[in-house]
Amino acid sequence: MIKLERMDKSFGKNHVLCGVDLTVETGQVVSIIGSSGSGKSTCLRTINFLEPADSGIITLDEIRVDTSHATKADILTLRRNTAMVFQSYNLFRHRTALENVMEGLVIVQGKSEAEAKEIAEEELRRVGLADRMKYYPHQLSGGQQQRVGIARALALNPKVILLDEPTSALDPEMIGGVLDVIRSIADEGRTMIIVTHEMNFARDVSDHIAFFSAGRIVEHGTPEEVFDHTREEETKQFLRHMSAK
Amino acid sequence: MNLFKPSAIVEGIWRIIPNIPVTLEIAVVAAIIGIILGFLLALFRIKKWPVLTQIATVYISFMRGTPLLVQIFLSYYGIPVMLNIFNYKFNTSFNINSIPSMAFVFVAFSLNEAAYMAETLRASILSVDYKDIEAAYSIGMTGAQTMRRVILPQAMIVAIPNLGNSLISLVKSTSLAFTIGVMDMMGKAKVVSGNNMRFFEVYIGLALLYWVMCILIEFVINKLEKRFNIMDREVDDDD
Repeated sequence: MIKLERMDKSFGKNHVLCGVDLTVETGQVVSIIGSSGSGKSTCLRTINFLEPADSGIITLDEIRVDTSHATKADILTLRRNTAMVFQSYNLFRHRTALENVMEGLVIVQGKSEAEAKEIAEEELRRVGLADRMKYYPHQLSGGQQQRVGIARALALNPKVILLDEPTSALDPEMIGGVLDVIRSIADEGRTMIIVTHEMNFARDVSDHIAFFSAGRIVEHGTPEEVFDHTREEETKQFLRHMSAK
Repeated sequence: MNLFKPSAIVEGIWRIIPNIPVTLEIAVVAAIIGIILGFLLALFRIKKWPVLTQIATVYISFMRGTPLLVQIFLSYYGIPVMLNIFNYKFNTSFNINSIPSMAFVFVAFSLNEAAYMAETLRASILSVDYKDIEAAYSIGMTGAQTMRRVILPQAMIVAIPNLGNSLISLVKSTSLAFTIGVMDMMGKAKVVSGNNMRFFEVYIGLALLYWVMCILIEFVINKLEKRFNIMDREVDDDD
């Protein structure tokens, strides 16, 4: 279970998170939707302290971190129990696909090279990259790079996987394949928080949807509640705008 | 008439060759200490630590803003004075006359090289894409692990051509060491030409030797650059 309480964050005068509360039960998938600049990516990035929140409490199973007094050890603990899939893949460009997946297993989790290699190969096979393990990121397509990013996150076996607009940087023809991979992971009962602009995908894959606007969760509920029985006018407007595209 | 004697070039070269190791020793010591110190200075500048950052900035500015020859003299005359002060204050008895000239040269060249290396390394470290660093943090790497596994390997790829240029400059600068009595290639050339009075010929030989050394360094650097530059690397399918 991961729980965010009263998460607050400002960039200078810009108040990007205004007391966000969000709970994701183990095995659940929550999608965060909302227009650009609504704070949804920032919210995701406060969980692993890529953007430290000004205040708020993060609870991840037995780990509880008050973000306003987080120590280095707290931050590492949170990072070692989560994994992130980035919008622009963020692969280590000096390492092959296989090495990208092995890196955290060996360096952070202290596994042996052999064990890490075995795990990494299995994860890469799972995302359909059995024949691309020795390739460097620049030798792979965007879709393939993102699948390496997903394999890297999966291999670490984190308590929760954070996906930050995983398909936003992809060419349209690549999106389907990556979404299929994410869908198959969701079906395995992994806990995931996904920031996405893919409404149909969010509806399919999520147990809950959170709609963000101006640093707040304006509407929260099951996909049916949010998409079919929308309560808030702001959400309706956003959804109309998205379907008009 | 014997205005120009080509055979003296060859003779000069043969007599200078035994002193090549001295030149190389200065260059290698200065390069190694320079790169270590330079890395620390670069880190101080990047991290913006109070005091250390300012010290690094002033140090680099001074070292790059004063001639190496002056720095060699500062080392040569300054270290004995400082040792004397040290002896006086702490009642020790270091013998300042026993310090070999090479020691002053090592100090001056290493400290000078560190300033240049610091700027090269700083630029290379800052060139690493923040995305890769975020990825390292996101999988739970510490700052030190990120530096060692992600930042430095990528920074080295960028730094190698510049480090190569620095090394070439350094090898040529070592010719200043003779001014405080070090018998490097330059020092030997002065002795040889003073003996046979074939100044032009001996210095041609000396120039050729420096040139060949620099060509060899360039060759090695190019090889290294190719080896490290993964961006041009072909897919390697065998195990």
